This record gives sequence, C-alpha cells and structure tokens, in this order.
Amino acid sequence: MKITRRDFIQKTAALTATAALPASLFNPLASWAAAPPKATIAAVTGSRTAAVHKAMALLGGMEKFVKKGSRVCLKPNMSFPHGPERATNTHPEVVAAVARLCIDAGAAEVIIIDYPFNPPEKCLGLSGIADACKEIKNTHSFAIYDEKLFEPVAIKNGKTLKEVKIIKDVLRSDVIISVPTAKSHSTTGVSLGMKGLMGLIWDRKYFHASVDINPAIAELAATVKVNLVVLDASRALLTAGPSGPGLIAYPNTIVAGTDQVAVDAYGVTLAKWYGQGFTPMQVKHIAAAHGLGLGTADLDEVQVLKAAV
Amino acid sequence: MRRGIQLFSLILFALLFVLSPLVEKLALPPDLFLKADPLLGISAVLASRRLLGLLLWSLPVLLSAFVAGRFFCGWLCPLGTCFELCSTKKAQKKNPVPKKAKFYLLLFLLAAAACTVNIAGIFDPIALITRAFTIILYPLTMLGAATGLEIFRPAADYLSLITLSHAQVHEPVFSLLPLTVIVMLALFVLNYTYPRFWCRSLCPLGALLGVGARLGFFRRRVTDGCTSCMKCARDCPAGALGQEPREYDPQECICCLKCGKICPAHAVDFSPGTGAAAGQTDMGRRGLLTTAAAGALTAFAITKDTAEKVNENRLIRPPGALPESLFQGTCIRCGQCMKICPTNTLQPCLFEAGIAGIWSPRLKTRLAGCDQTCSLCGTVCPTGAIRELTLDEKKHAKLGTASLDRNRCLVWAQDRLCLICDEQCPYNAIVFKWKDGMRRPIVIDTKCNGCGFCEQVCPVQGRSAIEVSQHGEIRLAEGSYIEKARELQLEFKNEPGDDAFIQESEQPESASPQKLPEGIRAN
Repeated sequence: MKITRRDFIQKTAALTATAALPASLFNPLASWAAAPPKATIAAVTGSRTAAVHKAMALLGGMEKFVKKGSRVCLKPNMSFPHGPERATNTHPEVVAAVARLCIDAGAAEVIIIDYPFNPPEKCLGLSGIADACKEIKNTHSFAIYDEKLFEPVAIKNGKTLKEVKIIKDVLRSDVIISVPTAKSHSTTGVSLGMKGLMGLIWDRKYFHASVDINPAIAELAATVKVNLVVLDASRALLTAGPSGPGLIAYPNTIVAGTDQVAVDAYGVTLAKWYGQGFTPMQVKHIAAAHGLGLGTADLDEVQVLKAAV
Repeated sequence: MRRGIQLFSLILFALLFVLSPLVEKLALPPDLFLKADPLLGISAVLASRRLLGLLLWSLPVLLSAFVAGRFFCGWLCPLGTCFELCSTKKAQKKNPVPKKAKFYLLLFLLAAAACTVNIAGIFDPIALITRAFTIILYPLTMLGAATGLEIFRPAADYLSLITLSHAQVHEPVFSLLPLTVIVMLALFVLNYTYPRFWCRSLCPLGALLGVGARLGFFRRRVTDGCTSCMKCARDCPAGALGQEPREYDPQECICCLKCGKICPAHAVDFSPGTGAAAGQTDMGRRGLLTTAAAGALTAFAITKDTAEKVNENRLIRPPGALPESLFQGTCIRCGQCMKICPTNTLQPCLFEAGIAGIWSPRLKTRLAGCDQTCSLCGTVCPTGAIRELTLDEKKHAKLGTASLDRNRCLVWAQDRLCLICDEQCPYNAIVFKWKDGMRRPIVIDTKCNGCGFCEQVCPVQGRSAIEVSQHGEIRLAEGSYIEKARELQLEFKNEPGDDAFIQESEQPESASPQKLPEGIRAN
C-alpha cells in the first residue's frame, strides 16, 4: 500500500499535535523552555538532495560535525545487489549528497563502506552508490568482504556482547555518519540506523544464532560512536524487509540527527510497517538502546525541526 | 621459431583463461583451445548423439593432422609446452609405459563415447591443463596476491593509499585440489625423468592426431648423406625414431624438426609426399577389438553407476545444465564454469555423480549460493553442456528446492530469533508460519529457485538446517525455461509477492491481522 502525501502530512500533524498537547496545555508559553528537549532532529520532506541539504542546515550545517582535514566514514545500506527501485539499499542520491557536504565542509577524505552480502562488487555497482559518488573528490566506496579488514573491539559493559569484529575504517575515522535506508525487517521489525550498523561487523550469524539480537544491536550501537545519522526515508520498504521485494511507501523524508535512537524512533513513525505500524518503544532494539541511555526513543522529548523543500 | 610459437600459444591459452569473465568483449572465445580440440568434440558428439557446432572449431586441428601429423603437439599444445619446459635436456630414456598405450586409451574412450559415456575429458590434455589451471594455479595465484596485499597493507595504511589499503581479492577454493595436485605432480615427475612422457605414452589427443598422421603427406625423409650416427634417434623428444634412423613413426613425430637441425650431415628433410612410413607401429586386430569391447563394457558399468549415484546423492548442477544423462555425455570436465563462477559455488564432483562424473561441476550450496544476477557459466561452456541463458531464462532454470530441517532449525528446534535464510533469499521463497507463539520459517517450493544462499548463510554449525537438493530441478535440452516454469506454475518474480506471514491453517487469513516480527513488542 502506498502512503499518499496528504495521508502522511495528516498523520504526522496529528502525531505531533498529540505529542505536543499535554506539555502545551500545561504551560502553553514556555513548554520547550521548561523541559528542554533531550534531542533535536531534523525531518525534511522533498527531493532527496535538497532535503539532505536542508536537514543539515537545520542541524547547524555539516561543518558542525565534520572539521577540516578530518577523515569521514559513511555507512549506507548497500547490502543487496538491487537497484534503487527495490528500496533495499540507501538511495545513491542521499549518499552522494551527504558525501559532498562532508567534502565541502573540508573533510580530507570520505570513505563509504559496507560489508554486503554476496556478491560484494555487484552490491556496490547495482546499488548505484559507487557510480553516484565516483565523481566526488577524495571519496571512495568499498564493499568489504575480507576478514583482514576487520578488527576486534571489546564491548564495554556488554551484557549480550563481549567483543565484535568491526571494519577497521570505522575505528580509524574521525567522524562516522550512518546513512541508512528505512525498511522493515523480519526479525527486528524495522531496520533503520542502529540495525544498519550490523553491516559493519564480521560475524553477523552470531547475532542471530547465539545471542538475543535486540540488546545486541543496542550494545553495538553504543560501541560504534556514530556522530550523525542521516536516515533515507524517501522510500520505505514496508514488507518483506530487509531483502524484499515487498511493498514500498514513499514518506519522501530525510531525517537527520546526532541521537541515533531518536532518529530511529522518528523513522518508526514514518510508515505503516507491515500494514499496521507500531510505536518506537514497541521495537525491542530501539527500546533496548533507550534503556542503555544511548539516546531517547520518547518522541515527546525530541525536538523535531521540520521543513519541506 | 618453434619455441616462440609454443610460448605464444601457451600465453594465449593463459590469457584467455584469465580473461574469461570478459567473455563478451573478447574477440576470441575464452574456450578457444577446448573448442579446437577434436577429441573433446568427437567424444561429446558421439556420446550425446547431438551434432555440436564446436566440431567446426576443431576442424583446423583435425585437418592439420592429415597434413603434418602431430604438428599441434609439437607447436601449439599448451600442456605439451609445459611438459617440454619442465623436462631434462638429457637424452631420452625408454618409457615405462609403451607408446601404444595411448592408442588403446583413445580407442577405449571413443568406444565408451559410442556407448553414450563421455569420459574423454578426464584424459584430454586441454581439459587436463584447463582443470589444473582452475583448481591449482588460479587459487594459488590469488593466495599469492592476497599475501602480497597483506605485506603492503601496513605501508599503504601509513601512506594513506586508500585504494591499495582496501584492496581485497577473492580467494577461491576447489574441492579435489589434493587429487588434482597429485595427478599433475605425478605427470610432471614422470615427465622430468622421461621427457614428454605424457605425450608419448598416454595422450589420447596425440593418438588421435597420430592416426591422422598415418595419412599425412608432410613426411620426414633422409637422404643418402646419412651416416647412421644415430644422433637424431637419441635426441628425438618424441621417441619417433628407432634403431634405423632412416625410418620414423609419423604417429609419434611431433614435427619439431629437431632431427633436421641437429643432423651433422644435413641429411634430414621434411617434405610433402604420401605412403606408409616404415617404422610405424600398429595395434593389431585383437588389440583393437579387445579395447573396443572393454570401452563398451566400461560404458555399461558407468551408465548403471551414474543412474544409481545421481538418485541417491545431493547433486545440484549449474543453471542451464542439460538433462543429466545428456549433460554427462556432453560435459568435458574442463572446469571453465568453476573458474568463472563468481561465488565459487561451482565445484568439481568426486563420485557424487558416479565414478565417471569426477571433475564435473556441481553447486556446493553450503559454500556459496548461485548469484541471481549472473549467468556466466553457460557462456564459457565449450560444449554447451551448460546452456547459454539470458538472465531471465537463468532465473527460471530451477536448480532444486531447499528443504528445512525443523529438528535443526534454530527457530523451530530452539525457539531462537533467526531469519537469515529469509533475509538472504533472493526469490522471496521463505515465509513465516505462526506456530507456538513464534514466526517460523518455511519454504514455498514453487518460488524456490534452489540457488542455495539460505543454505550458505544458515548459522547452524556443521550441516545447514536448510539444504537444497535437486528435487524439482528444471533441466531442458532445448526450449524456454520461462515457459516451462509457467507450465509448472512456478514464480520467480522480482515484484512484491505475497510476503504476508502465513497464518495457522485453521485461522482464516482475513480474521486476524498480520503477525508482526519478533523484534516488535505487543502493544
């Protein structure tokens, strides 16, 4: 099923209104001042590249996150040998827009990286990401599949995980920007920013076979210090995720923020997953991340800067 | 000059081997040498009872035998060149295996082929060297490349050479590596002691070309200047000269022209002419009949063995592989398909397809799946044992069906959250059934292509909990797989299917909402 724009606007408006209602009733004049938001995120509707630009502008510009000469690591979803029409990978326009902003902000280099499923080169090629970014200077796209390019990292205070092997670039970068796409997921319900981080680790089977995947994702997200999330919800794969083919909706939105839990939580509200939709706290791995204090999944506490371009 | 042409031919062979993935951009077919091999062509045509276009490719080599005997052996054969480069310069020794053996082997192979069993590829020199390149040399080269990268990586990291520091190579692995190494080592060791041992004693292609040489009109002649110094007889790399240096066996002569070059009296000369050469060995009628009978008897045994083994073993053939008996009759075990396979799932059989199926390709789905976006194996098959298919046709060439073992599946047996098989299935053939409070995977057989990615990624250690067998495979000698699939009501679509989670059968679907994934807490 398709979510029309009108439908979407009505629902988000209703949602925001409901979220804002109790606070504003209590103290209509100083609601934000009285309870400062725990997180601020930007949600911009419109064409992808412009929406990415606007979202970053609302957050204070890419320069706030990417200092001159820094090394940036971008983590999109490019795990499937599918074109953008399947909505299983991050849209190449979004990845390219983020990469360009980083370079313009003075990044020394941008490395776009993922550990895709078989066959890696095809994922890189068919996703359109390598092509979209090849003209951007000092920007490189890699589909990693060699275990030697991973490095073991201890999980501090990990209850579910003790150690994971993570792609080295992530550990050696100054800035990590997650650029996930919004999709359903037959185990975790949704796959947004935090779930997408599983693309950085070597032994994914372990997550499924040996531990409870939901707290494991939260602990992984606590370990990978993501500085910024730019969620591509221009499309949302509503069913049959993560691989599809499934129903695709078009929320037409780019969500960005530093709080990965908040961005994911907001992402959950953007579509009617599996024909039903659910609240962020219903998603176990998001709730687990909230519980770890990694960020907030309570959208009442999140300031959403909205715009349309 | 001969050495130059030999090296050129060997290098061309190696280049075509390396560049085979660029099959569409090459001016020459990557399987040129295999196509040009008349033994492979004749055997495949005899065994499959189908006239194959590739026979045309082998005409030049066949004709060359009638003109100049085993010219191919001495000038073009890449395996012969390798042997020549790796032998001692010492004077020839008597071979431990008589030179007649190769004729018996040739006749044996042809008799078997006439009885529909094509095992020529196991002994053919071009198939042999292609296989050795695939199974031994290719992985070895990639291992070397990977090791090289590891040595340079710290430096590349330090110097911020991003592309170099991220360079990765696929390191393919092939089963039957030990056996293939043993066979090649044995041949090279024998060759070291007995120069061109293979060519002189065993090579069935050499024998075939040698038979042509009996009628050849380019002949070695010795003038009266010969002093019987025997230098030529001692140095002949092919052992074509006996006690009498004026006589020679054209079936053995590889036309290297060495005898003419080294003759102190300049008494040796190659020139046109016909007639039986003195010094020619013959097989004898009894030998001929016995060998042909042995070939036929072996063919009978092999046919029965194959039928039995194929039925009891898990044997998944490449997409587009002909129906099994025809496939075995046509496949020449060259290994080109395995070399080009990007996921490395194509592996040589041991005895899964019967004793004669050795080195023929099969999918090892626990190792890797068959990539939905690839149909390369059919493009390099020299005999068409694997048909060349468009991607759409290939997608419909069902390889088999996955079946899930509920006693091993983590979800069914241990109530764990796992969906890797569903996540990876490119055909959307795995859906969920709501049972005992959990969504559990099941396979929709009409959507399963048998590609095997589910089996590869199943996190159960050891044997996968989901395994592909050839059940339901579509093997067509001709015609469209798409139409066949439609006829069988299979769907291999890439459009949103009904990924609705399957409900308990007693619950009508409309009565309850779709069950949500496990990662979602009830409201």
